[in-house]
Amino acid sequence: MVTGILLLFACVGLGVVAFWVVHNDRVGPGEPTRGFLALRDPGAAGPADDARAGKNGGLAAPPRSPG
Amino acid sequence: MRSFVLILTIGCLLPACFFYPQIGMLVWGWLTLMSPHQEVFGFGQGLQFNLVVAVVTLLAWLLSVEPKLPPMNGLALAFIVFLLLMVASQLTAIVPEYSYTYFDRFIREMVFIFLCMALLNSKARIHGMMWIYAIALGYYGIKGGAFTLVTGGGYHARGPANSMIADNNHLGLALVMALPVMNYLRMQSARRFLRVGIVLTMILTLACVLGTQSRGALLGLVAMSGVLIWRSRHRTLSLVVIALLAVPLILFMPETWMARMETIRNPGEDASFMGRVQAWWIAFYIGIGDPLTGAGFRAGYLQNVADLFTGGGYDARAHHSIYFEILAGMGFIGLALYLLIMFGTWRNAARVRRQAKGRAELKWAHDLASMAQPTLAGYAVAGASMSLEFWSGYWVLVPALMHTRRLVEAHLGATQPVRPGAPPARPAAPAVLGAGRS
Repeated sequence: MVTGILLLFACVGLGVVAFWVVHNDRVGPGEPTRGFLALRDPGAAGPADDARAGKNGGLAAPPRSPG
Repeated sequence: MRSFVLILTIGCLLPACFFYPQIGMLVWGWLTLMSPHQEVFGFGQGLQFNLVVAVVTLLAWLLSVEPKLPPMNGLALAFIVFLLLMVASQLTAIVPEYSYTYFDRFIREMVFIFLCMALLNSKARIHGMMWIYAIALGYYGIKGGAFTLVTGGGYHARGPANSMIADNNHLGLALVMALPVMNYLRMQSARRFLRVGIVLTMILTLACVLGTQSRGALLGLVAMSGVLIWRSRHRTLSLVVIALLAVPLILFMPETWMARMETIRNPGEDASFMGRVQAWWIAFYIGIGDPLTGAGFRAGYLQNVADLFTGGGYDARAHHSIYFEILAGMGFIGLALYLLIMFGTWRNAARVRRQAKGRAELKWAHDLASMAQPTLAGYAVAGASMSLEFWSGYWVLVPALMHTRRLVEAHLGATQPVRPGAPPARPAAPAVLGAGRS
């Protein structure tokens, strides 16, 4: 059962990574990434903590407006 | 049920692989590193997931606007020559029908790496591939680590059957290499719960490394940790953290584990090690006898081939070394290219660290390069006693670091300030090299 759960997580993880890569494929090397697997980039859309992700949706959280 | 989950996953992603070859590359990498079909039962185990995904991905790649060749730099050229030499080694093999089994397996891995050489050309793709690396190996790290803790460390943790990391020693090496990659993801993930999850995975993976009972992996772990601490900004803190994690786990392991690791001190008295030394001599004599292309993949395992090059008196066996396997299989030229590629990859990491240092927007590249070097160190040391010379987990770092360096240099070239009165600059390189279809 543990193996099955881990395998399920691995399969879901693969899908998440694939979606995230397509969503951020055009981001330049010095630009911030977005979404569930966003990096800790400067100028990114704020810390993507759990509360904010829960409000904006999981995989593609939109950037905050300035000011 | 597991078969169903796996088939459903691949089935859902296959259309995406066709429209986005970069997804195909990631799925192919996942299948290669994790061998998930070995973790299911029934009809799922016999299906050729890898072949299907590979064919669809290659077709999609050829039909897409993605670059068809890697950027032509020294490292890519060395890689292409290495591939050609692999073919030449098989064509001139002493026992071609025997070597073909291994050539077939190895060349498929290298076709995947060639694809990565062309497609791993954006920040997201590189970061995504590191996630695939961590997910694929973290799966075995969590499973094996939990197994080790539950059983008190008295058994061998093993990898997926019929894969390159099935053997306990090979699994240990793979997980030693995965630890710094996981640490890079921990350093770079914006979400706290991901970072927590990665830390827990790393602890279990470390337990699994010890649970493989592999002396080679332990040496690799020491080498990897040493470079990790050396490359860390906070060396004392890193040393303390590693000690706080490793010491309790080591003390947890049973007396049998301690006794086994103690034999590292006296290699001359260990039959297993002395057997490897003999195999290394066979590989050396093969390299001397056929320096241009070697005897063919794994040919030195055959007694008649070993006798042909040594004149008799040596027991043929696996060479148990990434260096001696290449020497025997592909000759001195193959070994020189292999070492050149390894050195070039290390150098790419060093260059990225230097160029990205102090630039907040390139911290991801600096962290990746900083973690890649301990990974390479672990592979270079532990691999000296294991036959993992064509394992994708090492080779995928070659294009990853090559493209990271190119991205960093392109970004620095594009953001360089223009001095007043200076001649007009050349047009800046695009920020994302070879981006996919619009």
